[in-house]
Amino acid sequence: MGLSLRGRPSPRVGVGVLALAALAAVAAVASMAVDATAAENAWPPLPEPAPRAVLIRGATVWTCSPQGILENTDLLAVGGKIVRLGKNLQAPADAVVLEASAKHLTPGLIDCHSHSDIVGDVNEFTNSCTAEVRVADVVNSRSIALYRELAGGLTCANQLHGSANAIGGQNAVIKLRWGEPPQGLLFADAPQGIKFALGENPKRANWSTATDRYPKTRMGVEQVIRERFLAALDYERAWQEYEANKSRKGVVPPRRDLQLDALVEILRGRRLVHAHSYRQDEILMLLRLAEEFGFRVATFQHVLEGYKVADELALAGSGASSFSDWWAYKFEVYDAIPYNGSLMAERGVVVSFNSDSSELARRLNWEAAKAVKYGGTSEADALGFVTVNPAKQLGVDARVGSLEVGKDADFVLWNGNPLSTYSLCEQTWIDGRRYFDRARDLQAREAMLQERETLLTKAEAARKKDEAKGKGDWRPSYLESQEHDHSCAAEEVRP
Amino acid sequence: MKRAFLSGLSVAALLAASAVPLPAADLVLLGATVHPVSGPEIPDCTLIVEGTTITALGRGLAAPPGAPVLDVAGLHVYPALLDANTVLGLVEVSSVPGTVDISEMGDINPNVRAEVAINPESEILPVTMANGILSAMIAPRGGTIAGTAAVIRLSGWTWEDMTIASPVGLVINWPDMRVQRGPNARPEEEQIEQRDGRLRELRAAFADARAYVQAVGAEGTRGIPVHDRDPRWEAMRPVLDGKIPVLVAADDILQIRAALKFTEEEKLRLVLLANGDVWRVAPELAARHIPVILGPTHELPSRRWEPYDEPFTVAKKLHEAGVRFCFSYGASAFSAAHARNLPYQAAMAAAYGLPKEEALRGVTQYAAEILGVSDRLGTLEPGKEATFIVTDGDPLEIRTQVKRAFMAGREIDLHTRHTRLYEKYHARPRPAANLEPAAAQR
Repeated sequence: MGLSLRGRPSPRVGVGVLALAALAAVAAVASMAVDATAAENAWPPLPEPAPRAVLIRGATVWTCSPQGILENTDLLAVGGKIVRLGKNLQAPADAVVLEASAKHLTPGLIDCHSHSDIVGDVNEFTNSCTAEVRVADVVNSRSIALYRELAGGLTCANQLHGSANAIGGQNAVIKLRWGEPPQGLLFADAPQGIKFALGENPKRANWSTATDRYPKTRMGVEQVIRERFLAALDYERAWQEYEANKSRKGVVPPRRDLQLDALVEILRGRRLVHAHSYRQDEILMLLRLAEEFGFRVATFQHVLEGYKVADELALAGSGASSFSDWWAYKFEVYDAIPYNGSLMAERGVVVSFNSDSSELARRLNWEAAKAVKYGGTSEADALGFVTVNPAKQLGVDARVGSLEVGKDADFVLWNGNPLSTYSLCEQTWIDGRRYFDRARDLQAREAMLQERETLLTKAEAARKKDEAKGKGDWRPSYLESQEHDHSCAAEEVRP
Repeated sequence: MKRAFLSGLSVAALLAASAVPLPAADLVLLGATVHPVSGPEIPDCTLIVEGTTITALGRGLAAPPGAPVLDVAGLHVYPALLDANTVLGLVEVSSVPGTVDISEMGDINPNVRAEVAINPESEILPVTMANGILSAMIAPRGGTIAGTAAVIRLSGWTWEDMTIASPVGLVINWPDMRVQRGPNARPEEEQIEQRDGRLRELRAAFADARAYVQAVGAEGTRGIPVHDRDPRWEAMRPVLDGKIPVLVAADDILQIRAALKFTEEEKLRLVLLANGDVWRVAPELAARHIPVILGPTHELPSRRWEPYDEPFTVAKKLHEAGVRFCFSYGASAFSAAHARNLPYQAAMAAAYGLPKEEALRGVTQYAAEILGVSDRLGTLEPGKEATFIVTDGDPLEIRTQVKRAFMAGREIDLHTRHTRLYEKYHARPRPAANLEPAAAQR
């Protein structure tokens, strides 16, 4: 079924994932406006084509680089890349020019923990290790969350498998290129990653029905992970032996194992581990297990007791991607404190704040402000919690996360200090293309609401006419659709 | 303690027979910018507290001699914030059932009272107070008629001590009026029967309560026998008498319209616990003087086609239509621990067009008015309770620090589970520079 039985892991598709990906792609293509008229009338608005160049003039620029915050500064981007940052820059002839004095310019915000743009369920619930499944196969380019999050300044997100399994599925880092098909959202150069999960979720502590799946304790979680890595080492050795001896007659290759392929990639540093975790004991357990097997845990996700083992995290070089201030929704987060981010950062851990929520992902700048409030992190460093630090954690900081020459032109224009609760996002750009523009949104929504009103009036008239004749099945369902959100934190309420 | 101190002062004043008696004071705040909310801010203000009450505030007031003085120059004083709908105190860890007391079994529970289940030692309460929220309306959540809500202060020795007013309203969760369609939906007839069954039960509860009140009232006249007592219908008397409102939770337009019709027919006072579609009926709410306790502003639009900022603009639309409103953090078990972020619900509304001063009133004055406790809370005026916070800036800004807090004249300790853990681990000794990672397990 399209599987290569030879060689190292390569792009592959199984029947199920192919079907899902195809469905998503068809849906996305269907939703894309093909002709210009449809694009103009689309709701929410689709982005206009990228200009060749864009010049932002006179903004307060939060570089999220060693340059810090620059007052009254211009930024020039050409061909989707930042080419200059300075005073009184000249605009190329065909550039879009934005006068931005009194406005603030920041890098596009990055969410290191999201499930917003995944088709269907985010958990392959069945096994304790599901390293073979891939979020990249089920990226949902039609998710309305993409647009809503762009409107909050988000440009990049780590789409993660859920936290039901000790070893979950493979992630997909995306850029929020609203209007593109699923493949167009993938962050091409981002290192591959995978979700791990420790604590109450993989041991199914909060399931409403009884479950007999191993593991049931934190002790068992460690053993599941250890057993799988030992299996991966055996598997890798079998392939090495085969490669060494395959010229001999009668030597057959080992059976390809997609799950163990992914685990071997972790062991060889080709796949980043993002480990859902809360308590210090489980964090330390995975740190030591990773040391033993010779890999680095790229990030601990949530890591709400990370402040208790900040030195251990820093020494191991693991990042921490935390909630700013969530706590008390499970017993394992009863010691979570809003000082967590600042405390870990003080001891040398690379810290980010994430959302794990399609709602919270629209205001990560506010989450950053909480690092100023609790723990006294500087404003510039705090904004780094949602820009350059998650970029480092995802291994994409050479491309995004800061406003520096040579980086992708992913930026946000705010009408005030981005850490102020009274500021709002006016424009969001990715690769030098404007994907969100509040002014354009306000115009387009007027047209949409008027059109909607016209259609409803017509429908109502038709209903009355039909009802008078005693026929027709008119049950308007236009007010019925509900959007769904997923959060690992809320998994205890799932069956 | 304060009372004893006050009596001491009074005795001293009496003994000094020749002196003109000066007003006594237990606390004088000097030099802050005071934001009474009911009026313009007062820079360099003197605020005088006697016992539990504010007795005077203004520029250049003389501090009564001998009173303890707190110099808060450069800082700001605001009324303490009020969360108008929450389950604070009724839940500790939302995933651990033993710590959750918010939803009683059954659909008709008018006799359930929120305040009797408050855990005064809940660690969530100090965490909430540390960000300036000192009182709240707590409401039971289960079934159709959930029980009665109470306004409480978040600190006290017992739940009686903490209860400011009870009952302040009867909580009704309006049944979901929508019929879901699609491949995974239950049969329509089944959904409709369930919905209509809940509506019939709700209507019957009010009819039964009225009949019960009539029967009990007629006891002894013309040989009418004594009626068995029923705590459910007894609890509904203040609602039927119009002494307290029904607090109807309804977000969807169909629910809201049905609730408006029902309460008009039943002649009930209505306060909506609403979000989402509530702005769509703003003119009717204004005409009928129906106030709205808003749920969280930090919500997603409920429909795909709605503008992304729809939930951020609900308060603005109500304000512009002349509807009375206030904010709440919402009464889910998960939200209780995060109620400290209440001021930012108001801030989001301000970012998207609600005037800033209206946003502030929405977590102070308007909340107190709608909950019927504005005689003591919500603004800073002589005669009001001395319940206020001292900050280094606008409490609706996340970066602002709450420096001190006073509840009825008594200072609140702002240390929390969070500050204790912070201090403990901030002081954890750092590792030696040459520390090696611990030995592998095996």
